Amino acid sequence: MRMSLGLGLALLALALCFLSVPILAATVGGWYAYWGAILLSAVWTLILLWLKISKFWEGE
Amino acid sequence: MASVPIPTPTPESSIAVTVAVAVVLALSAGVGIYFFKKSRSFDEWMVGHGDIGPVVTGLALTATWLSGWAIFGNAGLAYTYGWSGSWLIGAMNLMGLSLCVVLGYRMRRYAAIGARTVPEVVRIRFDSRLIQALCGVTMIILLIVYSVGQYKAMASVWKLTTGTDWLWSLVITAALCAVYLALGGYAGTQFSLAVQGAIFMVVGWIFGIAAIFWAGGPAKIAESIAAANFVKPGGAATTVSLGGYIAPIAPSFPGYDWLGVTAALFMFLFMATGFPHNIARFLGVRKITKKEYSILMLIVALNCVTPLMVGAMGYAARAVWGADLMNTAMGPIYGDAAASLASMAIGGPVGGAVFSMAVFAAAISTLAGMVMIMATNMTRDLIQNALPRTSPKRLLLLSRLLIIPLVAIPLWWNYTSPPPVLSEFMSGSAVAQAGIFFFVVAVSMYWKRATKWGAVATIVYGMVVALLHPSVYGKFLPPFNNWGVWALALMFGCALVYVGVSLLTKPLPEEKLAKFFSKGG
Repeated sequence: MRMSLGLGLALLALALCFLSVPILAATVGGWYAYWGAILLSAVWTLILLWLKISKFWEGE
Repeated sequence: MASVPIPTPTPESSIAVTVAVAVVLALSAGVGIYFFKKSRSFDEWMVGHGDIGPVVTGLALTATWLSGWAIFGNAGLAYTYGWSGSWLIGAMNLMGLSLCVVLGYRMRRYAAIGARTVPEVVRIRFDSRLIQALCGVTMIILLIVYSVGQYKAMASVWKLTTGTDWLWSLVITAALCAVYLALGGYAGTQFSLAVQGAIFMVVGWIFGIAAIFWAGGPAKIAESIAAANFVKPGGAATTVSLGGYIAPIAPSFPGYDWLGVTAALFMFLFMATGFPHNIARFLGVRKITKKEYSILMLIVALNCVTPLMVGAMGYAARAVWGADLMNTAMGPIYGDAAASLASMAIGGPVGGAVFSMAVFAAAISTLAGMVMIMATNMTRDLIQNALPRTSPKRLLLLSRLLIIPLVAIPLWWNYTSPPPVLSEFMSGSAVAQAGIFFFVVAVSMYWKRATKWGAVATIVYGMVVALLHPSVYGKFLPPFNNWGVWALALMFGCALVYVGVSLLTKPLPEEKLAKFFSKGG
């Protein structure tokens, strides 16, 4: 299956969100890292939602 | 701020907590009784009518996901370990649960062709009764361990707010839990869970925000945490700073090094989907539209902030009371007392009661989801698997009766040998569930090439490595005395075994797989 550009970018963004959590903790720390993790998680969730609805919807 | 006294139980707080907990349990039991009439057959008891909508499913999912660990233990983690405790608080738990929503929705496909339990999904996928039985047994073992933590949360709250011995509160709670499970079954549980999920979301958010202001604001809290050092339970001070996101306290602590942090991140990513009591929420969901699916995801996102709010209560308590909760007099609860005591300090007896209600809602909802899974594991996945001619009526009766020992065993364990640190104890079982079932259940629904033997080998590997936990045999076998090494070896070892053995063995014939993989695979 050929991966579309949109799918590739979405997967890259997901990986960046995941990696940014410990990077933010190691570099910025404190409350910014704490609440930043949930903000990054929200972005991750939006991307997953978009992927599911637009690319992998199981309408049956 | 040092002048704020640590609250102690009073007759008013005892009465308020009793009433609040009774309300949440009665509400749950009432929902169970309502659904009693609707679940007359064994199949209906297990998955309802397959007509549950997105709001109830979303709230129920977060209720099984967020347990006593999240609503009670998280404040203890923050209080005891500072910022390094945030990895077990689950700062990015939403990533894991949203992945569960995406992957778990395919459970409907298996429910439509007869699956009534999670191991049955695996049996249908691999056309193997062996794997169904193996999954059932593994789930029972891991879920009993995990459910011990729920009792610790409830017992601790009861002790802190009423000042009485916790055994009777546990017995009453366990009895009510058993009643509403036995009566309502899956649908009753699902709706009770939804009510409980809504309760602790509202309460958690309110107290989290209030606690930050109560402690003097975010800057003041951050300043206090930066200046704090780790104090061992019992009061022995150390020179380990709590101001960073890792704290070299002991190799068995996940926040000890970045390896442990990496393992904790992957644990949260995998375990939401790996928890059988989570993914089972999708067995009874009806077909939903894209808009409804988005609503489900929104509910999940909102409630995944709740654990961080409870963590904030722990940071606030540390800023206000310093390390006072680590003193011997606060044993055996120590830092785990932070959220309950902060709620009492902020809102008096009523505040303490409302927060206790949320803790009971969280703990009992996860417990209910797990007991339901274990009961059906025994009847459907083991007994009916071995004796297919057993009548549905007899299986239903047996499932309801089995709830009693399944509620009592962890209760007894917790009463006779309570885990010293709630969340650390529970994370041991969580890693094993994450490593094993993320692949055996979730990935198998999407990866055509997965085989029965790949799944069997993954379960065996996962259970063997689980015994090498740093607090069990790992302490004798370095480098497994390091939590990060152990957890990564378990989760990624499961992945390697699953893929490797699957590629070396023969998958099901294409014609059998076609019905599961209509869109790619």
